[in-house]
Amino acid sequence: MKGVFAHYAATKGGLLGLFMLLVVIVMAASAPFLFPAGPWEIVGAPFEPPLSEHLLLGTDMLGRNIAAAIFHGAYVSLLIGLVSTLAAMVIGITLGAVAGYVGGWIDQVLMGLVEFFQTIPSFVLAVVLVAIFNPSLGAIVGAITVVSWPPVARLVRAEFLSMRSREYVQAAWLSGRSDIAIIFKEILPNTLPPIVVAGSMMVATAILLESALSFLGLGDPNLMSWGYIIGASRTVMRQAWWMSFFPGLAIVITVLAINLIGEALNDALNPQLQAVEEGA
Amino acid sequence: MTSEAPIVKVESLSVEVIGTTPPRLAVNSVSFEINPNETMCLVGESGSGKSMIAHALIGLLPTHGVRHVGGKVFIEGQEITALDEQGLRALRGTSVGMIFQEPMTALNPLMTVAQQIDEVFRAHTAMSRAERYAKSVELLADVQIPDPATAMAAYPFQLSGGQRQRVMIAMALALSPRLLIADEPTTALDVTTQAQILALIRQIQIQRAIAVLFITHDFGVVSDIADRVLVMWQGRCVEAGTVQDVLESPSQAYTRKLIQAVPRLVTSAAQGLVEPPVPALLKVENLSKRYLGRGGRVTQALDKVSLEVGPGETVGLVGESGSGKSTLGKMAVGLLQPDSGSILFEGQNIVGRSRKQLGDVRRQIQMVFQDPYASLNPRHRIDDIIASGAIYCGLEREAAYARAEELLRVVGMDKNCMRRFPHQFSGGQRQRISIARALAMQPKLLIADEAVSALDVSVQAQVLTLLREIRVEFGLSMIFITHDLRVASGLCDRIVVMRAGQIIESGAAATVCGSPQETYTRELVAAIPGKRRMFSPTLVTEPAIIE
Amino acid sequence: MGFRLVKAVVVIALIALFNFFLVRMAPGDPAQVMAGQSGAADEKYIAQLRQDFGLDQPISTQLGLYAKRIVQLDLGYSHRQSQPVLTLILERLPATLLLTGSAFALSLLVGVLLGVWSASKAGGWRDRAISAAALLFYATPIFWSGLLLILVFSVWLDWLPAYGFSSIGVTMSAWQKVIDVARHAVLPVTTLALFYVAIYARLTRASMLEVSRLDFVKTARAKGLADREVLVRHILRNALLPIITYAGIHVGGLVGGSIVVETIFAWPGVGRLAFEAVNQRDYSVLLGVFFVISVIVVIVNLLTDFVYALVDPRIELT
Repeated sequence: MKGVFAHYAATKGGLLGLFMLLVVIVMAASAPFLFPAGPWEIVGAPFEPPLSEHLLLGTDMLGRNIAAAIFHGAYVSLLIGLVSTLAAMVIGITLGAVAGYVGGWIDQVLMGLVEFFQTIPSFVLAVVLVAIFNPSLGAIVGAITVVSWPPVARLVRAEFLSMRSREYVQAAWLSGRSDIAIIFKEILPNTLPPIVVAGSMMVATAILLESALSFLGLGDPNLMSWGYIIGASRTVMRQAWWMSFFPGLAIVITVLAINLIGEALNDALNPQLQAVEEGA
Repeated sequence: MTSEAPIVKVESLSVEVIGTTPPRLAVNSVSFEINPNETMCLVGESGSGKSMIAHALIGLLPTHGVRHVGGKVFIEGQEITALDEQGLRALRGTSVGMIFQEPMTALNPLMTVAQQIDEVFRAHTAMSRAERYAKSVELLADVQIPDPATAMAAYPFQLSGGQRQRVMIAMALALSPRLLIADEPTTALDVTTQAQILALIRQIQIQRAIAVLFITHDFGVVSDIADRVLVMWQGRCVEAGTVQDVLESPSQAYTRKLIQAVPRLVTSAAQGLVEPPVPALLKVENLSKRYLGRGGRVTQALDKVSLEVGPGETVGLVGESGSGKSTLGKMAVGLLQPDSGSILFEGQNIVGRSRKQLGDVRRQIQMVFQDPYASLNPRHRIDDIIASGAIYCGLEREAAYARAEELLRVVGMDKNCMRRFPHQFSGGQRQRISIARALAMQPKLLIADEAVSALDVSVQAQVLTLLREIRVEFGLSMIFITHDLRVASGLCDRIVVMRAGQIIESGAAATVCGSPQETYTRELVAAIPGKRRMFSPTLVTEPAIIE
Repeated sequence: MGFRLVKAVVVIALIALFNFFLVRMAPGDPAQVMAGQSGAADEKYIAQLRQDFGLDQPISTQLGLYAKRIVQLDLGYSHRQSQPVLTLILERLPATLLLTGSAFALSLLVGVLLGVWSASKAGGWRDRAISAAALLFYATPIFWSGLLLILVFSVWLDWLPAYGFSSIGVTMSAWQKVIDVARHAVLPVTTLALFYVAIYARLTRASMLEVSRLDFVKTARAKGLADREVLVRHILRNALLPIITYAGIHVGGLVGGSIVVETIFAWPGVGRLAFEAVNQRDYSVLLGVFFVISVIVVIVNLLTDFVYALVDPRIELT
């Protein structure tokens, strides 16, 4: 484990990503303190440009504080990203592990399901799901989970399949370990690295997905999210470029940060695993 | 001998591994010469640097990780080490040809044989398309590929390992280079195919009067084809000379150790023959299994195979790849289920029953696997790995860990290794740990599935000795699965020869090896490298296997 | 190939089935969902809908009616636009195909080229620059880059038109029309392609590096082949195989992205239609678009499978 941290710390990208993500988390956490009135509060004249008076990032068409919206929006994006990823991971890991380890018809059925979901364009499906079940926080999280679990299941299944025929797993079976013990003690710890990396990348995808849905007007109407602001700014772009620019920048920074972390994790965990397995 | 200049002249070649402090030399000041019409063998175990030298000769050292730091290489008088990439490219294929170890991956899977041979001509000559084609077919005939015209249009995946290696040789010789470098070209091949390829290379060397640099780890191969030998160890040249000198009177202890570690084919009943006592411990009856491949192809992995193993007996299952020996071993242990047939262990049929149903019977048959690097869970500590089996047998935790410590001592490992992780140990050590793990279950039957095949030859000898010791100490029966008849002959009481899912011949080890009845068995025996020279009475001065 | 065709048909049937159950899973009355909840539908119309779809009959009957409709390509009727859904979709499909087809081709071409270039100079500053740029574009939401491109190239620089398919109210010759459409297409196609250029560049680079480590590349070098030949004939050819597979996987995302892009650029395609349908709560249209887009993706996947089998002799075509 120590080696992993050392490896990670050595990558500049990883540190940068971590730092950027920290900034975003601080933004989310400090929102209720810096902008206690919330993002919907009207604080000034409409279309105030950035750097005017106390409005660092300007106001929107109704005079609401863009900076407040961004800070509060950070919380929404991170929340939705994390929750939906967690749900998708739980579903994906469970189904993938069962399919990969047990095999047989369970595997066939599961794979059919995964393939079906992967053929349907995921964004369109998400739009349809949210539209039909009426936009709300739950609908968005649900929709993102539904389109995100298949790749996880596929990855976990592939890992389990390859692990199942590994000699040390066979040896554990010969030593009398139960199937459950084998899954949890022998296989899972060795398949964690790619799963962890995939999970971290998925948070980024979830945030992008959520912002796109909000942009189209399918976000929860009570939550101010970055996508929503940009969507609202579409028609008034000529007058207020800052309305679309800053929230978008926030999205880019957050997603970039997570991707950097994911890649650094990948580099840090893989050579470790390789070294461990090849006796380097 | 002619007074021609040597084709290859290596002067104090040194290659350093980048990033190590103090700088580690993969090749340490090695010098040698190869004359025309001469085969030089570079022998050594893994990590000796022999492959690195071969790559340096053709200017193909890996671009990352190592670098040439000293010495010169001359091929046909031209200094290789001073050439730039363009110069080297002009050399490759024209003056020097090279073939590699893994025929499976050494050919571009998306190009036909014709296209790949054609490339060599196009890169270096101005021949017309028709000329190139004709020459390619001629080359394939030279390397004895049956039906060259059909082979030309084939893709690599449609050819066998031996055929692919022949294609590689054809490509390397296309422009009649004066030097052929062969980097372990037969290590990944079946023993009969290996014999054919070795004969082919020797034949080509004599026909074309070229120099051959042959890298290998097997002294048996050396004795068959070498004129001169260079023994490498950790980057250094340890001993050099004619094959006669080195084999018959090696001056260095390391060389002696390597030569002695080569398993001998035992053809006399030096070990007391064990009559298969009744009742048999394990009785396999009419086991069959077939696999359905792509395109409706049916592979008969096992075809009504029957055999017996008596208590205290060691039976060798010998065969080449695809013979079904591993499949049989996995079935005995319960990792695979047959389509039909039965396996009786102490009278009970163990086929088709779950672990729970079998109860105590399951643990009495244990296995040691081939790949030392995949046999131990990289995230578990050694004592946990061994003790978990003992706990399953019903031991309390303390007793289980005590047993683990005891077993580690038995297999020759220090008790300090208990809390360590697998990656801290070498291949041979890991196999010892795997054996300890199997013993923790107190089995009556131990199945070794190519357990020494992935080990260096000197380490292999040690592990075989260990197996001999423990079978006496624990009263084990063993099934020893291997492709190497020599190893089987030294360890086993009886040998069963398999091919394509069927048993070809079976009998006392000495009989099968000394006077084989079946044609295939005779082929196997004949194909053993170094048989003529290495087992001559003048050479075998010590008992079969040492240490 | 025959097997794959059958599988494709099965998948399409399953998607239709999925659609069927989706409407009935929605909260509220399915008839209202189908009529659109905008309240513009009156009771009589809803009652009519109920009868047409047999909504008060058992599921099996409904399924039968639905299946019959689908086979006849009857995707329903849009109350809002007073046209059959299929007509609406067919009208807009060409525009979307132009947009997504161009973006698909562009992103593959540019992405692969950048990836190859990047891999051939691995570790150098060019490689790092391309990798950094790819990372950045991979993190950029499509709708944001679209808006920014409009801002810069249309509003501030006035080089390219921002909205629509072609200039209205201007008479043009056929050739001029083509140029006009092309000018309108530049920004939307670029927006959509940007994200995927990043993906393909990274994929290609990784694939090239992995393949260059394989043994047959060493063999090719040992034969004395020129670097360029080794790169193209040996490394690239093999590295492209997984790219083909990924192209099939990403088509779904590309077509899905058209919803956003067409909305921003007022591009008259099915993506925009879907957006309007969402706003108007016109679920028949939305589900119709979903179905058609899914079918397109299935067909493209079939094509990529076919191409893969053509390129890799180890895969049997039949």
